[in-house]
Order: sequence, then C-alpha cells, then structure tokens
Amino acid sequence: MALTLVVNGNTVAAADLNQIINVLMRPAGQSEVGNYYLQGSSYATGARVALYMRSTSQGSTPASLVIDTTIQAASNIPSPSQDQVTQYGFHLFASSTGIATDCKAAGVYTLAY
Amino acid sequence: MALQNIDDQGNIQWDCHNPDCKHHHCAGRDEYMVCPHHDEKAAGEPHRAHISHPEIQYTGPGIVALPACPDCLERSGGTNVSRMFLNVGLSEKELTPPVIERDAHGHILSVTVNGAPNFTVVKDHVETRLVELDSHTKAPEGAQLTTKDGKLYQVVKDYIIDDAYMAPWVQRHLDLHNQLQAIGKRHVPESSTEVVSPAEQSVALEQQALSLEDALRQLG
Repeated sequence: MALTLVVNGNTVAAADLNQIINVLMRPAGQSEVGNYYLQGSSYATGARVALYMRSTSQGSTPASLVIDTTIQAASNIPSPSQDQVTQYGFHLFASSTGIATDCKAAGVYTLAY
Repeated sequence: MALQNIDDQGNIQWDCHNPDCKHHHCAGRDEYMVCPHHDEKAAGEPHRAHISHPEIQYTGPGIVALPACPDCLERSGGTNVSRMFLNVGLSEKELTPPVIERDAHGHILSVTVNGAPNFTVVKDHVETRLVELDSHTKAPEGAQLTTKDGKLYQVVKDYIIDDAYMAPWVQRHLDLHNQLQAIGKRHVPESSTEVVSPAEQSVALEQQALSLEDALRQLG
C-alpha cells in the first residue's frame, strides 16, 4: 500500500498518522506481504532447517499465512511448513530429504489480518 | 485472506493469494478485506475441499495447513508450492470482545478494543462541518479556518463510527478447529508436523535419485 507523504506547511491530519500506524499494527482486513529465504545444510535425512520471521506488524494477530516458493524452488527440502503464527511473526521449517550442503526454499509470504 | 466458508458438513472454501492464478477469488473474501494486489475484487474459482483431505492437517498448535494450490504448481512446472496456513488457535485474550459505547439513539460513540486489534472490524468515516467564529471568539491554535460569504469559520472534522463487529473469519476458524478435533485431527504435542503434497514427494524422490547418481558417478 502506497503511503501519502505529508507536505511541509500542511496540517498533519489523523489520517496521515493512521496510515503509518496501520502498517505497524495492521487493522482488520489488511495484509502484510514480504519475502523469506530459508537455507541451511543437512547432516542427515530429516535434519531440520528453520527460520523465524518477525513481521513488521506487531500486536495484530494474523488470520492466515500464505507461503509460496516463487523465488527459489525447494531444493533438498519440501516446501516450508510453519507451526506458529502470532502477533509478532512466524516460524518456518522444513526437514531435509537427504544429506545435503544446500537445503533451500524462498518466496513470498502474505500475512492476512 | 482467511477461510471463506465452512459448512456443518466440513466443506471448506478458500482462495489462492496469487492474482495471476485462476483460483484467486478475492471476491469471496469478507467485504472489508483489502486485496493487496488490486482494488477491484476478482472472481476466480475458489478452492473447495472437505476437512478430511489428507493435506489438511495441523502443522503446529493452532495452525492448520490447507492443500497446496495445484494451479500455481502446474503453471510453474512444479517449482512453486503455494500453501495457506490458518490460525485457528486463538487465545481468550485475543478473543476478548470490544466495549462499544452508544448514545440514546444507538449511535456508536466509542469502541474500546480489548482483544486483538484486528479482530474487531470498525467501519467509520470523517464528516466535515463548519463552525462560525464570531468576532469575540478566538480560533483555537492550529485550527483550520476558512471564510465564506465574508464570515470566518473553523473547519471541524468529526470521526463517525458507523459499525463495529467481530471479524467473521474468527468464528469460521474456530468452527474449523472444532470440526477437525471432532474427526480426530489433532496437533501432536511437542512436535511440529510437515505437510508434503504427493507432487512434492515425487520431486524429492527425483532429487534423491539424482544425488545417488552423482555419488555413484564420483565413486566411478
């Protein structure tokens, strides 16, 4: 969502401030979109690689999280799962499919509020 | 984005987040939900499944994975796995209802949110009115002023709350949680479960086969 810049000389209205607050604490109906990159190495089949992503929005509890692998197709791991999504962020993880020096997946995450 | 629908029989509906996907159906989302991709809501073909679907499972306490989008997977040649995870483990604190103060006519004066801020949908608008200032009254500092027909007015903006209610997805997600528990799907404590689609399993097997081939080649 594009922000409307406040111009010098104009009165700063509540709406100007709220557009910033609404990014830092998403209100009902909005989304946060970003990228993640999960990468690690595996010493054994089933070894886990994981990543905690802190969301920009703090204080609002997401309804859902969508993860895709558009940036980097999952390699030596399945597409990441997640076991925790809270008002602060979410935890991504995947178990390796074999012994590998480079287990990775990356894409877009969308948190819906 | 959230669960768009759930009926008593355990049939659920959701949509794909990807605006280029035929399953992108933001027209089916709650009317207050903003699509991050476009202003006009698009009507695609939503995903539908029964909660007994093997890919619908808990991946963590209060987190339910839905099946990966088959269209995104196919169009990317098997590289893009797009999956939605629903938050169904909502705490009592998050679910605390707001305190809505009304006047004698039922108009909402204020909404005090006590639970998660985004669980309460507040519909509001700003009304602008002009208050005439006479020659004896000094305008408040910083007030926006305007003149009309030779008279001085203060521009006053009133914040009007039209409606306030619990976000509808909250109940749908709680219903899903209850229905999954009823058919025996539960999160395994102290463990995080992965959900892997059959298509991904075959890709993983191919990768393993290639790794083995490489290893054998190196051994000569």
